Amino acid sequence: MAVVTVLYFAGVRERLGRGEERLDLPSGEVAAVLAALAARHPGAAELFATCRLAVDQAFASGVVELRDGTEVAVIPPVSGG
Amino acid sequence: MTGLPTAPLRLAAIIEGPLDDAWCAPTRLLRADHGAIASFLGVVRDHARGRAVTGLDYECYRPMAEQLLHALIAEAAARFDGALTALVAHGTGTMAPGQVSVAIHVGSAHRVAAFDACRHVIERIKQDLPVWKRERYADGSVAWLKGS
Repeated sequence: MAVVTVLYFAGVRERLGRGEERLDLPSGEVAAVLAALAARHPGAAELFATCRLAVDQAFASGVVELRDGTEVAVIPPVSGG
Repeated sequence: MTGLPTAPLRLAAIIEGPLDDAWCAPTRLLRADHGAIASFLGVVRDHARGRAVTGLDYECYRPMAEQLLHALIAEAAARFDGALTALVAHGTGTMAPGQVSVAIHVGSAHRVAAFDACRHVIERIKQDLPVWKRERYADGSVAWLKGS
């Protein structure tokens, strides 16, 4: 487990009522990390299922190695432009 | 030409608020070795899916977004023209219909590379840039787009 900073944006941020929190999270597949976050926030579980994950400001794929201080961002479907 | 190697002008930024004329004008890219500058401006529209839109609120994961804009310019250069120049900016925060939320200018020796690179950058922004827009409607309601 590592103590990471998790960032939330847009509809996820609003649903959770916060843009940031520090959490103990295990390393693992992207889907497993998102599932761990959804388990901690059951009221927003269906939103996490639509999100991507960025780790230290880059999109993550495969297995995510988390260390203390890693910045994890939950990225809902983007709508820029 | 001095003969000194100079990096091509490539600027990317996230800007607070709508983009002003300095970002909307392509003339900063004018150079004697560019035969073409292609530009795209994204403008806040006053309607969506049949509803009147009174404004947009953009939210942004700024450090990642700025890195990604630079990476998209590099990606376009690798694909279309290694010598292209580019100005790319995306606004964040509150905007009104008619204001400019995104500006992309690409300079190249030839028009095909300039058009293709400009199109590439906006399409990749739509896919990956960590920016979210919330629409505000005439009845006071709001909605994040794409279910986000």
